[in-house]
Amino acid sequence: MTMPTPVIDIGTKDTVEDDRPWQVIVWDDPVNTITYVIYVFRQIFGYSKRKATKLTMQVHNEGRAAVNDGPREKMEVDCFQLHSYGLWATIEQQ
Amino acid sequence: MESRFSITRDRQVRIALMEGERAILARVISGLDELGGTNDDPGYVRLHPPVYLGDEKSSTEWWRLMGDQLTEGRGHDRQVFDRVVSQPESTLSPEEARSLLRVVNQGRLVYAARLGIEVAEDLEGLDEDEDIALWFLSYVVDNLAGVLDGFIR
Repeated sequence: MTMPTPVIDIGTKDTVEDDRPWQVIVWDDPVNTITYVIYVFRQIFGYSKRKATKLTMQVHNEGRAAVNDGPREKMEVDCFQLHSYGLWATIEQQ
Repeated sequence: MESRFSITRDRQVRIALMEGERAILARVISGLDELGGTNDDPGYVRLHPPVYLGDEKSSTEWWRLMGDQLTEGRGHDRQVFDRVVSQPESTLSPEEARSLLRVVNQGRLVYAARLGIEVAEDLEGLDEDEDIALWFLSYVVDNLAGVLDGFIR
């Protein structure tokens, strides 16, 4: 039996990573109130009260939550909107 | 405490604040005028956090592209705030009310950051004036957000 030839993936790692979707993360802080964060998620993303509340409680209890995902450019705009409301949002690849 | 915020029949936001309440707001929000523009000011740091963790180059680029727009938007929001605190009653469009909400919340964030509040337990160490100010700003933010939620379809 012939052993498969190892494939050396030089220079392709970045390309593969670029295919992964981006997401915007909101981080917990002790000052923004739960009511306010729920409102901001609803205002920016149009989420239902149930979804906005679930994400807000995830931020509160787990310290962070991914609140949206998609192309990097879209996440940068979402991040801008969240910052305009004073939420600490970051962008990362999944 | 009677609600200071309500929706009018023609779908505007009515705001009625007592003189002492407007004084608290004006005092705390004036802290936004003194943003140092450097990382020596915790208030500045709170409003300018990294956007790409572990990737300083991308964060710097994001702030280069977006920072001026954020500052411009905050300037517009501040004009609405200044109008509201200059009179006992105001009637705002929903867009203007969102400006007011953003600037009051930013004032809270900067005020709290300068008081060294990093975790919830830090709130217990505030003196009476600080505690009242943060409580009242929280009241404004929560109640105004509640009213504005009524405009989301």
